[in-house]
Amino acid sequence: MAKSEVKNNIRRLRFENGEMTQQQLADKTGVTRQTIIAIEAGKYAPSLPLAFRIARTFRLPIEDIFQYEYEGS
Amino acid sequence: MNRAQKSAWFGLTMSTLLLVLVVTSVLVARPAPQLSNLLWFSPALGLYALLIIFLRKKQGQDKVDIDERDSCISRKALIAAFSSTAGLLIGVCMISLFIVGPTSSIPVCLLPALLYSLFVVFILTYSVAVLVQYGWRDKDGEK
Repeated sequence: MAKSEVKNNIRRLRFENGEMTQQQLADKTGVTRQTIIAIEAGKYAPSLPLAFRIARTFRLPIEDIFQYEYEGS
Repeated sequence: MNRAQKSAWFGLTMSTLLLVLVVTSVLVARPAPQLSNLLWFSPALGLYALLIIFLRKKQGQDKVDIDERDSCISRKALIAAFSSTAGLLIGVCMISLFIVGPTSSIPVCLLPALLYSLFVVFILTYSVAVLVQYGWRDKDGEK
């Protein structure tokens, strides 16, 4: 799969939130650990509902977690 | 490795094996094709039934088995499998038209072999497409 243009701070946020594991985040957002790994690595761009669930888990606005990098930015 | 990857590896192994068997059986039966020469690979259906059972087996009650990424990967793999199977069918029909000619005929017992081959190619392409999208590796780029 091609790398997405959606960057994220999930890895950093996990460690800032009591060193949350990928499995714990996966359980809270209702996905598999592999999906969290793929999102963190930028290999998979999550759907809008999943992005909101992740944002809600970290109690942050969605744009503080995901950044869309378009050409020229 | 999740359920879809395990199934894909199983499908890839079985399909490769069955494709070899189908091609061999057609080559063996080439001078005088008989139904009995082609039916011996019928247990293949039983093996694919195992695959279906394997696919339906859940990992655990509290664990998420399939999420949106798995569905997306499965959908893309299905499209790839359908496309390749359709392409193969069209190719086989066109090639046989040019080789055998428009008014000639082929043994009817070759048709089950063609169906088997299409089925096997479908599973093979699907399995490869799933594994390529997951990244072949066991832990999917885990750090």
